[in-house]
Amino acid sequence: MLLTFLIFFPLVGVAAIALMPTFGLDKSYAKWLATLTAGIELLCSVPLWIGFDAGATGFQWETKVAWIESFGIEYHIGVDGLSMVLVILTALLSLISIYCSFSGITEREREFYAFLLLLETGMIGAFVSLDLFLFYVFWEVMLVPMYFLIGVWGGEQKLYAAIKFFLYTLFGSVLMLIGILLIYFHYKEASGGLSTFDLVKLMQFPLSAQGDFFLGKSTQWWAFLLLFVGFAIKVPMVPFHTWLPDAHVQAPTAGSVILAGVLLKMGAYAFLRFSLPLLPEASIAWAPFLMTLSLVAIIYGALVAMMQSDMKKLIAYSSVSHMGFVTAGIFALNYEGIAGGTIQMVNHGLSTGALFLIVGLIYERRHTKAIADFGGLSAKMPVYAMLFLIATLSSIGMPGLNGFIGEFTILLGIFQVSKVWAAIAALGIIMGAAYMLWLYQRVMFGPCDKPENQALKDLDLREILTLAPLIVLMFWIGLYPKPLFEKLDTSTRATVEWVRKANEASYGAYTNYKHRTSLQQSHGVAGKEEGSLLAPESAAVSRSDRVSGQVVWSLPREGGDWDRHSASVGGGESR
Amino acid sequence: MEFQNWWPLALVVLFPAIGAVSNGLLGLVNQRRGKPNKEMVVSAIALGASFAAFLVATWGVLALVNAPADEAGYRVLSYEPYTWIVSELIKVPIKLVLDPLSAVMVLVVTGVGFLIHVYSVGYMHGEEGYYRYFAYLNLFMFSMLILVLGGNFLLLFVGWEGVGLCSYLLIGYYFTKDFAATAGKKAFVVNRVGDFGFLIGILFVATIFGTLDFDTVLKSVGEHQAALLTPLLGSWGPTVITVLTLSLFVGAMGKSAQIPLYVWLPDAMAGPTPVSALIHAATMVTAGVYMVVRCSPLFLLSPTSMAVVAWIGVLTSLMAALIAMTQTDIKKVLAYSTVSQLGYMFVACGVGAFGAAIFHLMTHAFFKACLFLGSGCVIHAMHHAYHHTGDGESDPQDMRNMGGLWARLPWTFLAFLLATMAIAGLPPLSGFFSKDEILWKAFMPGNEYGSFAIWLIGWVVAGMTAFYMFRLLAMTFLGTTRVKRETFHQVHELPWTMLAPVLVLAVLSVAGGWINIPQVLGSESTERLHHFLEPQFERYRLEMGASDHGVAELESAGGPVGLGEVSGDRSPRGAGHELLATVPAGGHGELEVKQELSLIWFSVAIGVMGMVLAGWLYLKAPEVLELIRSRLGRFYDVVVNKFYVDEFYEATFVDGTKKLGENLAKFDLARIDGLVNGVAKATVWTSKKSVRGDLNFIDSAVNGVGESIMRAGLVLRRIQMGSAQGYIVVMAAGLFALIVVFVLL
Repeated sequence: MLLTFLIFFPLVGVAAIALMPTFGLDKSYAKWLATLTAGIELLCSVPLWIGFDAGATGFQWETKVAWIESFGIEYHIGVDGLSMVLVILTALLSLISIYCSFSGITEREREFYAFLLLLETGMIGAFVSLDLFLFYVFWEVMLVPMYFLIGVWGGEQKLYAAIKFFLYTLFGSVLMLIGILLIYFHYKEASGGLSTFDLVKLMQFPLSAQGDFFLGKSTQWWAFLLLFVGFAIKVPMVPFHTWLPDAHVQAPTAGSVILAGVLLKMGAYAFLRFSLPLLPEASIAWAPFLMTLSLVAIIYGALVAMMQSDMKKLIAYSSVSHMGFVTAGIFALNYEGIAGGTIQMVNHGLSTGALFLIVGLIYERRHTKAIADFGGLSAKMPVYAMLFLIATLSSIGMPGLNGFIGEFTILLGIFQVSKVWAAIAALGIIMGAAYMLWLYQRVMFGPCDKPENQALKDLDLREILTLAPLIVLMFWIGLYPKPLFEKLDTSTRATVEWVRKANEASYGAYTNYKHRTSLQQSHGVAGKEEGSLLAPESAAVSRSDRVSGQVVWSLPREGGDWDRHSASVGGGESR
Repeated sequence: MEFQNWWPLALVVLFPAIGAVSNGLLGLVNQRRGKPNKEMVVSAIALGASFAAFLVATWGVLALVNAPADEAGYRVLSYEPYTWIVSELIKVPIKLVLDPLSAVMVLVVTGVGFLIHVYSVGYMHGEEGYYRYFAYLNLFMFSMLILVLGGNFLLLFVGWEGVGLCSYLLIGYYFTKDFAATAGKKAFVVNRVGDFGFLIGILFVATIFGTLDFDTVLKSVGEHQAALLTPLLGSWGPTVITVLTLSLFVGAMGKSAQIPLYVWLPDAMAGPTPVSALIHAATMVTAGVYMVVRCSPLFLLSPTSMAVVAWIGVLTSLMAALIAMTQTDIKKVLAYSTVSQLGYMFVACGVGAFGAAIFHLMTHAFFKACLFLGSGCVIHAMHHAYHHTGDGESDPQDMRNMGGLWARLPWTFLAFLLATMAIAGLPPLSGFFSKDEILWKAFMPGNEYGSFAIWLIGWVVAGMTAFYMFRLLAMTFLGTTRVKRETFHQVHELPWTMLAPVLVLAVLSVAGGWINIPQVLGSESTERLHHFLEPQFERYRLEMGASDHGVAELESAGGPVGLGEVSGDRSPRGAGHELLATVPAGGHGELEVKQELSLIWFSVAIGVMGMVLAGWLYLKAPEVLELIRSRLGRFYDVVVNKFYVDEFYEATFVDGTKKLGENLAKFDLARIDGLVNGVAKATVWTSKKSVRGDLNFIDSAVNGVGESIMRAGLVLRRIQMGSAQGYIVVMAAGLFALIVVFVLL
């Protein structure tokens, strides 16, 4: 029920804003209504973190209600560590993006805040959906408000950017829908006529990874490709990234924050939630290609970012680079990579969200985002300088702040797959320092010689408050990330084990995983020491035993399906 | 060996952190309210914090000395508040460790750090952003202490990046000046290049050992010898250990300013002078040396890495000394001198004399901090004199505008003279003992890591060091003054708050070496520092020797034989322990005593020669100097211009990256985005053909100007009404083609 409440409560806010004239409320109340709604939403999402049982497998706060029975479509929602963290991030960034718009948005306020709340419904719905069709619906719901946020309240080329964003993403989601249908029909065939879009049920009949479905490739291979396009556009992975700089540059601050902070996570999340569990063999097969794209994104994004003259565009390209880190981590297909990738999703939401807020603050004052229009602001705006510095350092992975935790863990994951790939990814960290510090230097340092900048005012309390939660979280994750690692542990482990189990042979060939176990028997920290992530009893069991000993999402045993399933997975299972 | 839990270790780190945060926040709040920050309050907080850290550190070292030792005499205190990072592969706690090695470092950092805090009170008086300076300085102390106390690779890396950040902030302290901001960024980015290597090294350690804990890793080096000595690329290529250690060393090159990553350090002199003294001479730049010493068991496994370390060190020291001989900016000379001395420390590491490296690190911290603070006094005094006489043109750092200042700045001169003699290696000052030990270890027969060539270059550099330091002394303090008359009389000695730290450091530069007098010279209390450090190195050596099969493997793999000797009958405290434990034993027979003594004479001789030569050339015979300069011609120009390395880097790496970025940005816009737009246009064209409507929305979108919101809504509706089908088909085809291309590539 909690999750259902979280999904639909923002709509209450939308309704309230819509009914404002009926009650004779002035339109200036819209922002307060929206803040109130998002604030309650955030408060109600906190129990997710507190009440989340890090040790339990499977999904929590699950709700399952039949929706369109003829197609087996269900309203099935629930969270694991991964989605729980992202839901809270969404609630937080939604509140911040509403709060940061108080001074910037002066036209059509009611619509603006209504769209933001509608967007929140879509995002949270997408993160908690366990039914593919439901997921698709929320995925599309997110599109429309974002389109209007850019198209109505955006910059000079807002229409171009909005339409590009809309059509590009729509194109991806159409292919994604085809992919989903492929999986759906396959299940129907394999189960003897049962219809379902339920993720957990679908996992019982993995798509065939052998055979010739089309052009010599298997069904799974093609399904992965179709989903990949949809997700990769959303991430965005190079070369599908060009909508992002346009959208960011044109979007209002709130739009940029949500876009960078949450919407970009949707693609990476979908890879983890759907592609890896449903299509594990194809994931292994595609991993080198996706890894390559990710590494290209890291380097390419960084290099292109370096030469931008517009602050927002620079940060947009840095997002491409950072999201490259996330996808690279995910497609390392091992524990460190996936855990790091997930943490980096959160980190990127915090640091890039903060950076867009920071650019927004200066844009409201000067109505320009061109780097060349600034310089020497440090002397005029010391508080702004400090917060900008912290956000910059978080973005370039300074230890002690959040970015480092994610980047290091990801590198650890990639390194186990390939030392060369890890080295390439690590190059991105040098470049990150170069372009971000150069940006900081050009904006904040040097003589303050532009007359327009002489009278700039430092941040007021509201502006500090919009940034404060992000800064606090940056330090928290940087200094004490253990709780986060722990909450993510079960879902990460489940995903890894699932992929690992799908095809031991090709997994080992990809991740160098056997080599690793033999080398670090003596110090394998996991399970050895007090407070470790593993349950104590499983520590004694060898790694391969643990694979089958671990419950990978509580699979329902319906009829005789289970036996067929274990037969099709082949070996290893003994239930 | 149990690690003694000793919670006050946290205080050592926390005091500076609290100082930094409270000064930073107080300052910001005051600045917002438009109230001036009281310098008294700021300095009280900062000095209190650093002095408290020093006190607790001293207490810690005393507690360490009195802690129970294991059978090898190893003592350690540690404090582990919580677990930081956990994954399947590794678990990294926040763990502070005080062992003999970090004890030496902690005392240097907090001791010298506190003195420089005191000095800064006077030096920074009246500066705008006074609070910012002290907040950064405390933050630096915090990071540096994390670096030396961190009990695992990752915590060391936290401190490592932290000191880099503070260095960036303090170099760019005068951020309104472009060159300062640029120098700060350069320092950070060049350091990041080094960090890249360091990070790769850490990843190697994590994946091989499954832990990043120093003690566990170093103790199990022996167990993992087989894995460490496998070639990286199947059956050929460098061994894993060589790549691992060299990656770590790349980090050290960056932080400790070695070839080819030394270029940031001279530019770093753009920061305030006390910062140059603390960060860019005494402490931070020695972090690389500390790290290599800390990882010495790993380095010892790879003769290749040891040789690389030694040769990079000796070449850096030579090149930097050459440049230092030609510079005219007083701080630049000292900066290159620092680079050169750091090279010495790496020579020590490379020849296996890790204790000597730490010894030189310590004495260098004393005399170089003294020299920098002394030069700060000179600059400060000159600056004020110029200010008084209304001279805004002359550069207060240019030695060509100085000379004869001893009469105006007698105390500064005294301190400067002592420190100069110390760095020049004149007995019995501190630099003499430490430098001499390095040279002896490089030369020492029976030390397989040493070589005559390294000794020879090191010996020549010792002479050059004496030369450029006395050149500096002569140009600044001696001879007839080149300062204008009215300015000269405005040069005044500085207040005692600033002189006192300088003089304390001068005393330390004189006496600092006496804790480690070599046995050939000493009577009763010789080599105390080595005795203190010895269990540290001994601990990991025993572990290595204990693993017999490891040694066998090692020998069959053609590894260093010296490690094999360790497991032999020689007891840890057996013959030759006065040589540093990590250097393979050679007897200390009569012949070697003679050799060592004669080497000492050699070193002293070349030091005196350099000194006399500099004095003669710069004070008595400037015409000879001119002659030499003109004879050297082009070579001299090349050296004065620092071998044009900066220009070379600028032209290749910096411009190259920028060009690449620029071209990629164009490519992104024209090709990738062009393709997307092209597909869109093609779609519109198709739509026009098929629908024959007036649906040119993409065109208008591309043109993008003056579109009304109403129209956008209209367009959206039309898309949903189905006229976009053709669009999607074409777009799908286009992107599909794109994917196929990428798959095939």
